[in-house]
Amino acid sequence: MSTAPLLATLLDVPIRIRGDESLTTAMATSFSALLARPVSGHDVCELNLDASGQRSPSELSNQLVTDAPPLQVALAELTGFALANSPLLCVHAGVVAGPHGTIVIPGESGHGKTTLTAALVQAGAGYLSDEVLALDRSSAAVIPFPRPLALDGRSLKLLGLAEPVASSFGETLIDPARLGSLGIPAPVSDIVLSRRSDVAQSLQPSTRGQAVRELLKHSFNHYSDPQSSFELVVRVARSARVWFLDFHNAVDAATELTIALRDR
Amino acid sequence: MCPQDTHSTASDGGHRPSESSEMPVSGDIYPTAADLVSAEDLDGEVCLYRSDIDEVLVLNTTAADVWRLSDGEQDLETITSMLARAYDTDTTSIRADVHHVVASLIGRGFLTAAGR
Repeated sequence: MSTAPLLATLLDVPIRIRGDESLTTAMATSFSALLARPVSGHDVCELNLDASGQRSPSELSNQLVTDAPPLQVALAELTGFALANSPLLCVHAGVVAGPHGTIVIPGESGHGKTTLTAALVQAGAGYLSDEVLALDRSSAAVIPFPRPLALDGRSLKLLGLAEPVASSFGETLIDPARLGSLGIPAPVSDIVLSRRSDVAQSLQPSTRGQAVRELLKHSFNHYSDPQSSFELVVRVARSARVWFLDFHNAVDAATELTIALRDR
Repeated sequence: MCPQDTHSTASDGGHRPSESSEMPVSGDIYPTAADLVSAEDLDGEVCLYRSDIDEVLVLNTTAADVWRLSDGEQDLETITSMLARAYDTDTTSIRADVHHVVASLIGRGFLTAAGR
């Protein structure tokens, strides 16, 4: 049964989401922070989701579509759709608001950035995104993308979060409000290049050149305008401190980062 | 001098010419930046970007010195001599490293070698 569509602007893409009533109702509740920015203007993109949360044609892997709850499929579809249409420079990264500006943790899926992002929010940072650093291509302004955080059982346990509903799927969506508060976007102040490892945790200064390389390496869409994307990440790196973090335990790492980044 | 400290990561997942494509260079070439290469100085390092193949290269401070002198105005032997003076050493001890940096940058398409 269809219902009134959801309307929101994600990554500067105005989107009208239509789908099964139970799904869109659940999305309105669970994705409230993500869907908070209203639509303005008339060029609205249409996203139609079926009851499984999938759009047609889907670009998700069969594994996700088969195994995941509809809300998680819908979140993945929504994220992919917004990324595919966004005019912003979008980089795969965890993003939080720190004491001096926006803290960016670029990295691919599975390396622990969502858990680290969640731990930073629990430690007092403001949540901006667990997935996308979105930068306005002309002003370099940070645009928030506050998705629910997809955390597996091990991360939930580490963060002291009781799993609300046992999920047969590997991850549970966590409302950012359960971790702390949403962040107010500000210019990028710190870029944290990180690596999960079994060696002792360490946080060392790194170079802006490495930051440029990592931001471009983890970009979703710089290929649409590579030269201006390079210039933008150079501009962002020039005004930021750059760190290299070796970590094993995200909570311990968040504690060290919170203390270290407090000082100018 | 440690030109091996040049760092390269292709943003498309690591595809780039292999080291085996590096050809020896002679002292009489005039190295200069290739077309479509952007260079940015960042705290002593130089960050190079080839937009045509989407490759970023971060040069350490010594490799960056080689890059800055590779402006097409002096040949490689002159560049080597200038660097030897700057580093207060002799050309013999740094020639191989300087040639390696230039050969590597030519092999990766960041420099071209003009003759005169």
